[in-house]
Amino acid sequence: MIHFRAIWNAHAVTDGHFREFADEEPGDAEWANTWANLRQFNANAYFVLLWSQAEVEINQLCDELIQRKRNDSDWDSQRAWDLIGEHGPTGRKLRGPRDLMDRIALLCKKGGRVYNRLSELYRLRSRIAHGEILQSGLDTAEIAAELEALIKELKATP
Amino acid sequence: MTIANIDDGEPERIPSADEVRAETEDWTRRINDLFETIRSWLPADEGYEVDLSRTVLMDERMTWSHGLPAYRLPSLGIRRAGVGLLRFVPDARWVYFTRGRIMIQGMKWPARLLDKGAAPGDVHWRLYTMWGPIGGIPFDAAALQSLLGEPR
Repeated sequence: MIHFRAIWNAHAVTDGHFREFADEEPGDAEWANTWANLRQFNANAYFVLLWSQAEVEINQLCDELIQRKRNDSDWDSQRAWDLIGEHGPTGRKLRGPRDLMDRIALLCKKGGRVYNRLSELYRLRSRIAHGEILQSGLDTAEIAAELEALIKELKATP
Repeated sequence: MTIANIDDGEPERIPSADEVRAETEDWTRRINDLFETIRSWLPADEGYEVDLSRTVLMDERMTWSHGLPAYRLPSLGIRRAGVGLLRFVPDARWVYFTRGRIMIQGMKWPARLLDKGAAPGDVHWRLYTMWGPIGGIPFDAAALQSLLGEPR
């Protein structure tokens, strides 16, 4: 179950409270900057949380794809898939390649619209996760909707 | 077909000071145009009043990092029978994958407008609410009417 909508709703409510604090000192530029920074950190945190939900779904879709392909009765089709993913002592870990974008490339056409858009969003997520302070803000309403639509497209890919 | 380059270190493209200045002027124009449009959508005979007397300070990271001054934009309030119903408050021009954000105050739950236009001159305001579709809806006269009818 993906919680895109719940996450953006949680961000909308917390952001609303941040703005109420910001509005308490309307003429104070330093106060305004402080709250603008806090709002940005808050938005970035929720954005990374949205991505974590997308990753859960991508991993699940990869597991299902690899398992399905390994179960193919035709060995010619099956053998390459047997090499993808790790084999542990208590069973297989099926997530496939370590790199998330390689896993996404198993689920949609590399270089296609869905792949490139997920790549763009993933790069943004990585810059935040690696500590960069972005010059522009983020809006989780828009990104939650887009991630949900992109995951639907991945699910529709055979 | 172009394959996107996966590189965590790819820097953000920062607009020049001239580009930021031009975008700020365009943002101001779009806000004024939208507020005029909202005013035109209000039924003339139902007692709605528009209040443009309050302003909001715009001082975003993108502008102050170029040493450009903060500036003020109007916020638009809608009242009826002396009671404030909604207020549209410009919030940020610089929001990823949009051309700007306006917060809507006065309802029980948060709501916002995002301009999803692709370039200057291409303006597509969409309304995002916690109770509506996750991808938002076009902001038009019917959407404004639905906001005016929301609990507060």
